[in-house]
Amino acid sequence: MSNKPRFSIPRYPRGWFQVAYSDEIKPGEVKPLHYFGVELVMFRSEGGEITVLDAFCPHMGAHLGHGGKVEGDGIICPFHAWKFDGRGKCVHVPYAEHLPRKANITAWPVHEVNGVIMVWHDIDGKEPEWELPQIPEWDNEDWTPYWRQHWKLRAHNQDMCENVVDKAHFRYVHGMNIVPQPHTITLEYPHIKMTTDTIYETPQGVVKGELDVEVHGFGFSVSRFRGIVETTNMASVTPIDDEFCDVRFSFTVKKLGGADITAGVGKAFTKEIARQLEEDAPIWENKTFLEQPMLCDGDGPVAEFRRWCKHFYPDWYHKQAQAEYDGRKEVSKPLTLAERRKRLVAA
Amino acid sequence: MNDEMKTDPWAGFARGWFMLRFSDELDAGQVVPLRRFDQELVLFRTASGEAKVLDAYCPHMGAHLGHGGKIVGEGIVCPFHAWKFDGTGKCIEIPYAKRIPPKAGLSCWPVRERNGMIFVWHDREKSEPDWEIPVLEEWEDPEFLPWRHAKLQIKTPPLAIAENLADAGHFIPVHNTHPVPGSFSNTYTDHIGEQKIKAVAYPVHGGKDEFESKATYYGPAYQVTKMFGKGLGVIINAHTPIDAENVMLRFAVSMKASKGMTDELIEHFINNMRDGYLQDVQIWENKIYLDRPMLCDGDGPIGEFRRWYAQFYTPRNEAADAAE
Repeated sequence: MSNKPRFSIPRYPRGWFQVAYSDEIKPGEVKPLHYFGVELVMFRSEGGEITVLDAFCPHMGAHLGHGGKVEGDGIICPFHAWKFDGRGKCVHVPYAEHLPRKANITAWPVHEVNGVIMVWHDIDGKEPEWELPQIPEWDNEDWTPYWRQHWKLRAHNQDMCENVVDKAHFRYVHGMNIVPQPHTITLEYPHIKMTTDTIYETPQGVVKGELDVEVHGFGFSVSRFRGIVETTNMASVTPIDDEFCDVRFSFTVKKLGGADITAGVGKAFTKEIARQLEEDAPIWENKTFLEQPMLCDGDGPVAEFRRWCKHFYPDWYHKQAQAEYDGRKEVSKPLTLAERRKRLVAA
Repeated sequence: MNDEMKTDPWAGFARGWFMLRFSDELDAGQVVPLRRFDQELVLFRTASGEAKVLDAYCPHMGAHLGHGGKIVGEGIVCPFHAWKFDGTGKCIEIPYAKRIPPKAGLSCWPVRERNGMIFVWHDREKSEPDWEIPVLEEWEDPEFLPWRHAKLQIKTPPLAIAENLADAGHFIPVHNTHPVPGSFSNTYTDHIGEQKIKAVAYPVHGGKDEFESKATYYGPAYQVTKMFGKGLGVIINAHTPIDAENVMLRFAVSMKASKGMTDELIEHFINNMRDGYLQDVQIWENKIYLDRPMLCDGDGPIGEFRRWYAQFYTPRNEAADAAE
């Protein structure tokens, strides 16, 4: 088998990514996670705070997600009972008089909002550059609880996000009779905002309306449809490893007359949105990434989108991905100032 | 130059015709994604019945034409934005655009359909074919039975399969076939390598068969073996690289069903030919490749074979020297 990566763009962009739903983890629970090609552990303290850490104990390498126990706001390693707090700092070793000073684990920035648990990923380990919005439809008595759907796809976040600006694919992949014409579309790191007229064919008939899409980086977007009904879909895409990602749709409908009618509309819409995703999936799972797509008139603002994308990866990461794709020797990450000084001293 | 610095002479993929499928494995309107020569390809048959091979990825936004592409008339339509390409790879229609970008196209691979098989021409230098797959006269004979074919993916370098041509020593241990002393010979002419042998076989399903055989490689990866014994049998052996480590082996057997041959007898011959071939496959599947095999007298002219085989790997302008 060739070891060549599938894409010439980096795999793991910067941003907020969903790793779970809030109700999937209760106070005192511990869960192992595997995202961004690494092992992680997530736990909820007795007080309700979510923490996500690198999974392996720095002491002897045990996986905290397999047998680790919550105590107070920290987690206890199953191997030798070292305790780490919510920032990954080792705060207790029951059989030692001195705590090793460097016994810490990397903690990932976490934001629990809208009923989902999001973590911040940055390949350079930098702090979050933006915040996630609160969705007014969440936990709102005028709106239904979420319908959830999940897929595991062999796809890249950037390819999937590109669909937002790709006007022409709506007709040919989704069989829509009218290609939506965006009224407005703005791309400003880390957001895309798009408004368009649209038509949905549901078993209840054709539904006309307006679609509003808000993109918050490659991990999270909100689509709102307003017509004879109002619906909102939160979509999240989280890279698992070099090949796969988790896609989660969380769907809510503004309550209508009776619960039955609302449920009927909700089901019809969920089905329609899921159908669209399943039409896109075989394209995403098998396509390549073209650095220079051959665009024609009638395509959306793909070139502008590609410029917007560049902000999500540091330069060195771009160069490394391209080099690996070309089969060249791996370009090493540029040295930081501190590292350069250290080398000078050593010389 | 030490050994580590020496480049592998068999790196990359050979030049020549490679079999992709038997003709009856591809219907009109069918689209097939293929990984061959470490590249993604799409194989399809147009409405009028022509087999075509193109690079797989649409130049527009990178979709794989082999996954969801559809045949419309003589062209293929991309599943992503419905760009249509003809059999030469040229973009001939974009349903939503006024103007087709002049450079919109895909690389097209030379294809031949002959003897009930579909071949593609591979050449790293991208030159046109300089020889053709010959017509197999038996295939045109009405008494010749349709191919009974199969395929198998195996992990072995193509050389390990092709080298059988020169391997005089394997007949007894692998096939329980005893060559008549002095009857084994190899001759090489341009891209054609031939092996002749007379032998007595004690085949898998019993009996004893005295036969003469002529096994001919046309290029590096397509071999026709004709066995003249109690009847005439033909074995096809074709191997096409998937990537640097794996090949797709396709093989077929058939024979002339002359008057007086019972179905039982035919079945017996066919099974013997197939299972004799599978004896070789079993070795190929499990062996490793030795750059410097430890040869002994009686092994057959392996060195001569490798010099001939090298012409398909070296650039054309150096091939004549390499074949010397």
